Amino acid sequence: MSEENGTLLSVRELRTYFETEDGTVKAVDGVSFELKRGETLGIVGESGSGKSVTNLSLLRLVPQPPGRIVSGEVLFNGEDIFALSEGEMRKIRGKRIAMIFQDPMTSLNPFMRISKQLMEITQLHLGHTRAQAYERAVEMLETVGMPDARTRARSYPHEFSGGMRQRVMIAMALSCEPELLIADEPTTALDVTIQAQILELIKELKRKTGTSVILITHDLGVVAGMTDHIIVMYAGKVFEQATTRELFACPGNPYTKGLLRSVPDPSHEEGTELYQIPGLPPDVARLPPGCPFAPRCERAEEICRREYPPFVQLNHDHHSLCHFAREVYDKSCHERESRKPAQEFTLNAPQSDSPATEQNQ
Amino acid sequence: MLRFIIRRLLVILPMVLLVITIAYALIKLAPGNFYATERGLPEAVERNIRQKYGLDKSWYVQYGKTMWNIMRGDFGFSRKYQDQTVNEILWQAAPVSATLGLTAYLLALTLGLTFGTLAALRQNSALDYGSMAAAMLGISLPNFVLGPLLVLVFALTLFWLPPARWEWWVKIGSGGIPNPRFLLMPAVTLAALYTAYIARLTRSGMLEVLRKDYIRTARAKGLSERQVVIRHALRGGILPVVSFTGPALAFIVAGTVVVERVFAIPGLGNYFINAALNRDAPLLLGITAFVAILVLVFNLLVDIAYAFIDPRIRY
Amino acid sequence: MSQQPPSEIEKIPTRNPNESLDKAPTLAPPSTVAAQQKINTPEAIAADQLYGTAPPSNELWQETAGGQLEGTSLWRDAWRRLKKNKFAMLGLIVTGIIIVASLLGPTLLRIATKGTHTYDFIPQQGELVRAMPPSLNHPMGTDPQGRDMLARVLYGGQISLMVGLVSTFVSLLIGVAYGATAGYLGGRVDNLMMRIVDVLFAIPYMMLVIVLLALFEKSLVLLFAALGAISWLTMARIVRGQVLSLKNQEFVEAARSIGVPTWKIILRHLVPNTLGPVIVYATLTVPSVMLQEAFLSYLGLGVQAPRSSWGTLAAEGAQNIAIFPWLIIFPGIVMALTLFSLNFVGDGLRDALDPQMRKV
Repeated sequence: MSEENGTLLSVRELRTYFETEDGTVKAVDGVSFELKRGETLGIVGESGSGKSVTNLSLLRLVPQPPGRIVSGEVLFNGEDIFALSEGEMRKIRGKRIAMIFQDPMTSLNPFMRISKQLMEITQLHLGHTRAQAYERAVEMLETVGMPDARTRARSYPHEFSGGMRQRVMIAMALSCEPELLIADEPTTALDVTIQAQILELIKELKRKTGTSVILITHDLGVVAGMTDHIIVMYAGKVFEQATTRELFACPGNPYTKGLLRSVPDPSHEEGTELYQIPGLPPDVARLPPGCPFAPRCERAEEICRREYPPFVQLNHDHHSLCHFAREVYDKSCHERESRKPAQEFTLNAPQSDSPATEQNQ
Repeated sequence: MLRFIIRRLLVILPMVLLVITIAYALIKLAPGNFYATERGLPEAVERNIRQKYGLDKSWYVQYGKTMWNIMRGDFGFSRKYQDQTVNEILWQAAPVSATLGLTAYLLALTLGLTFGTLAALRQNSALDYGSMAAAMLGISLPNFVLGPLLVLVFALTLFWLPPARWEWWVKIGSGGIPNPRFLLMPAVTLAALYTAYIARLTRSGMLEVLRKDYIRTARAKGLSERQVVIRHALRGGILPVVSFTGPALAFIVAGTVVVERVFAIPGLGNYFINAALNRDAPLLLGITAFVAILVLVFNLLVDIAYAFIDPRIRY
Repeated sequence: MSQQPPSEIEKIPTRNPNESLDKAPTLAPPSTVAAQQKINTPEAIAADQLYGTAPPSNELWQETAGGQLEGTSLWRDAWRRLKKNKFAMLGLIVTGIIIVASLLGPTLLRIATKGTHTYDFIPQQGELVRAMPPSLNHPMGTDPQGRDMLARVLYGGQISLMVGLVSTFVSLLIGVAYGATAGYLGGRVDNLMMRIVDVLFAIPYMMLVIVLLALFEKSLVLLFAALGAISWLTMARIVRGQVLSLKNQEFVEAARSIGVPTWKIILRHLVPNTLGPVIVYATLTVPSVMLQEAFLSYLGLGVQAPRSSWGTLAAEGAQNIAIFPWLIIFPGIVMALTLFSLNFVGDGLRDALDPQMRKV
């Protein structure tokens, strides 16, 4: 992996609000995390948990109005993102931090040839001439496994399948060799078989280029095999934060546990009913005073509805936002012990060979 | 694409004939005659007239003959302007209307696209509200009210512009370059409604496109807002305007009828109304055919343009 | 996502600029299906969240889930939104005032002035009449025959509004019948019917209407028919698009799969959902038809004496603009004000009702 193991990105107390008819929506409310060079971070949560907005905030791409970055600090390579001018910011976007979006069907400009969309970015950031940019575009398309790249570069987006378009998006994102790649639900809109291919591709390219990656998803199955760290978000807040292995092994938050249980597990017997967290994600404009997850939480008690929970440190690199974090954590670790050596949940999505994961058992 | 164009051209001919036939049927079914006078004519005179114009023949003979002549491009003599053929009148009047219509059209496109785009980019700003209120006014104010009001203010009160006349500045053939002082007010009057429509269409089209995912992608690439708008948003944003330009021509044609009357401009519209009121069948059919062909061909051109802008369209 | 009907209506969102239109699931689907849908399509909500539109509050969902007829909340919701739109409400009020004034005004004026301020005022023998500029007695002045312009404008409003409403109704009948048939039957019939509409779109109608009205005896019925007949095309397209997309939507399928009879589907789901866009477009058709009426009347082809509409009044005024400018200014202003208001109401209704434009 990367030689230097310094911090690439540091987000502190980020708050992004939206002004709507129904009041202020605190889409991101005090999110902090760090990302080291060459690492992959997974951000997991249900829809509306603020994971996409968090990442758009990093690039200052939140549409405003109605959106507004209220407070917080984002240091990218030690540089304060929010202090940059719009022009300096543009030099970071696409060049040093690139993004892949959820829906490849709509994320490419339907009126422009693929080649032109790819060329645009290198012409802008690397000062390529048209010819250079074209060669780079073809090269990138070949890298992402586009067959017959040279001829297909001249096609329009609608002439490609969803998987191919996502490959184009990845090619575009990586063509300036960014230090950070943000993939916002890169596989959600794709077929299952294509999903695996795209994830594999991202993984491979990450290994080749040493890019750091933030992978946003609502599917824990996706992050299991790819990430070093995971952040679980709910209602604009970080609910749990841990290394991937630790999080899967000993979740310290009832919400995380619920998410884990709602992933289909092939090791379970057939006919077992798939678990669903009861209720719906909350209306972020009208949050109750206590824990935002309390109305849906199995473990909730009186205090949960009354008081906002603390962000408990469970061990060196594991935090959880819950009144009963320690208890939940101990319980799930215990459960895990007793379940051994039966197949673990994580086994259906094999762990990456990342050395960054710390052992806590 | 070529097949599409040929197919469409083949459709245009029967459609023009259909329009002419409808107009023809209306003329034939309507009571009254072009030669009728207040006092009535002696029977012998009437019989002679009917014979001269072939009106004594059965209807299908008349229809067949008329259609045959029209297809050869011969509309015959006007009944009202006895010494002029319809083609001569068209040749005289069409450049006037075309100049007026084209000026208004370009005016509407320029202003409409500019203000529509600006309004969309500065949504909810004073500029946005101002343009949209003006556009709404443009849609709500009939051109025959707007025209006289302009005359009242600029010609009769401020004496900046001459009230109602038409003059070629430089004459080329039967057309030429019009005197802009005479052209200005009619063109503005005619353009008002379409400017308003186009501005509203552009604004809503741009707003819709600016919300699209690919615009976010373009921003994430690091393009400046100007590049995002010009390279990525504009194309999709003006698509509704492009599809409006087809029907717009038909509206402009109708608009010229009024504007020419308000400003006493000797264009096709004026001839058309007079032909209808005088039951001048050849002239009426001639103008109808001319305009129908114009509008249909223009619609075809718009469809072709659309396919060039939007690569997803395949004919 | 449901396909967008190929509507000609412009979409001008005035409320929330960044709501994600193509992502927003409709609120309309019946409770259970929708709720299920809601959970299972996180991307949809993600998009809402991204653009700052909160997912619906739990109360709202429970209310809908409580088995209420979705139509009711749809209308109540629309009304709530419409009330928030100041321009639309102002337009509604102004339109209301103009309608009431047109209906009652002429009669009230006649009574109040003992017959001197009427649109059919006939001066007594030997009485000197002339066009008088606006004064306290005649707020809009009088015409050369000594008739009070206020009375004439109000009476003209009756005619103009009637033409607008009746012709719109005619276009509504044709358009809805045609569009619904095409959309419901689908397939080749639909294809053919819509090709015909495409073809008709390209015809310069106004010419034929001018020919028709110039040649035949001018009557109001002919005018209604002519104006109605040229205004139904867009309506047909909208209705067809709605029916087509609704027909394929999950909630209709869901209703069908649990054995709801077809007529019930049409009544419960298709009609209320199609009604929104139809009402919106009809509201926008009224001012456009009124404008066309005025245009024809200006050419002497529309409303005929002794009746007069705003169009004929303005046409009369235009002839004497240099001498009696008030004869065109007042009818012009009142007409523009009415159309202005109606257009705002239409725009507001669209924002409030059009499912494509709706929030969440």
